[in-house]
Amino acid sequence: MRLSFAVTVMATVSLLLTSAQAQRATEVLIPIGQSPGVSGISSVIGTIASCDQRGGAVTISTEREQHMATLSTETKIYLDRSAAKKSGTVGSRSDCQKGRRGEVKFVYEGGTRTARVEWIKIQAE
Amino acid sequence: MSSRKSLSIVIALLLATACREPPPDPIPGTERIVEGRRLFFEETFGGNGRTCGTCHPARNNFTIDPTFVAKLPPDDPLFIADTTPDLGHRFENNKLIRGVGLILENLDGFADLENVFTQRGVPHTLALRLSVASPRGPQTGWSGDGAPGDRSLRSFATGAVIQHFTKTVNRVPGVDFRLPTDTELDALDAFQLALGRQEELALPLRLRSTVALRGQAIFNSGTEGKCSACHFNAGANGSPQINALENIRQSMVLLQARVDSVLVPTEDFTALLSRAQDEINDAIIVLEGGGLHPDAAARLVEGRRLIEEASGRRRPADLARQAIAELERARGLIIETS
Repeated sequence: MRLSFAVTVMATVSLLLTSAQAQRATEVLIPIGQSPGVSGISSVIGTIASCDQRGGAVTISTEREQHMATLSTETKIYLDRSAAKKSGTVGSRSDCQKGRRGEVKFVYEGGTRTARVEWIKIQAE
Repeated sequence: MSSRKSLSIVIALLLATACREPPPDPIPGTERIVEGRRLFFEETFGGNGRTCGTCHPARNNFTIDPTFVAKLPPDDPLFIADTTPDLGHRFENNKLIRGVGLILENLDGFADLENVFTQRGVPHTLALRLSVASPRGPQTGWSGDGAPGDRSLRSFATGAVIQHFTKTVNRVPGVDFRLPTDTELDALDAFQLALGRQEELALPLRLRSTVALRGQAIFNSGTEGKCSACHFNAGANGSPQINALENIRQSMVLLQARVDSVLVPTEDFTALLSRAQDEINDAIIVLEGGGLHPDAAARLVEGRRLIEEASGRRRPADLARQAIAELERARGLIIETS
């Protein structure tokens, strides 16, 4: 009985955790710089200056400044393939490479930008 | 040229100029709403021929149902999957559209179109000004997660074009469709917000029909229909109490999972407590914002404090149990006094 209860709890928890990830599914298909109400407002678009794929620290360089950000296990990573006329797809930290164009959407808490990244879009090679 | 003739020409030119000038907009923003209406019913965004009005027709209260669908011609863009091999069953199940008025949505992503999808009814787009806002931010679509970007109603159209307007299931912007511009999003937003009632109802309504009056009485009665317990403003939204109870329930499930942490991966522990805290925050916002159940809200605040303390502990199970107890008390207070 304990095992079946635990399995039920796990299933419920998994459902609750994944339901948050189900939001805004079409975001993966929106190219860098075209996210409505986000691009250039709560996101930064630039070039990846550095990326610690294991630790999650990433630096985005724009024309004026550099922005430090942190990828977490909850960060969604998208691969922008629009330049090749292909649809966007889910990427991974291995795609976070220096020199690539990227867009980072930061997590805001109470109107204050944190260093945590909600999603990052990386231009495919 | 005589002076009289010259004056006549000048007057004529002035009148012609005056006639070309558009009349002043009697209501600010009207032009934007009108443009939004045009986009909503006519613009295909370079896609498969559908418009917003394909699934939200004005002549059917901005929704579709089997009776309405049965009267559509076979070449209506609603049935585009029938005639376009690049779309097919991975884009739409036309049997379900015709049979029960359901459309296909890929809410959980587009990686596996064959197996991962949801079939849903089409919500109307009336009274959105009153229904989209929530303590958690804009909630669009049936499950509140319909919009990309900033999740607003304005951004919803971008997601809708990607999901429903595409020429092929590849969904490549610039190839299968074009994304709406900022100006178009503004106009569509203005039009949709202008639909339906603009203010909450002041109940009870002064209805003329005695049958409708009786129905209203039953609907709002706490002992007969009890409908208003969940549909407190005549059906548009759920009651704050019901929303708060659901938040409490979900928080308790998450906390219990943390207590029973034998089989849950370690890396999820922080997420569990964080989500539980988010749910409690929502419940507190709802109750305190409406001045409802102050005793229950106080219990929730204590429960939140316990969850925060648990987050920093190595063995948070005891604190999580105490938090669950506080949530139980809060739930009991809400149910007893609702």
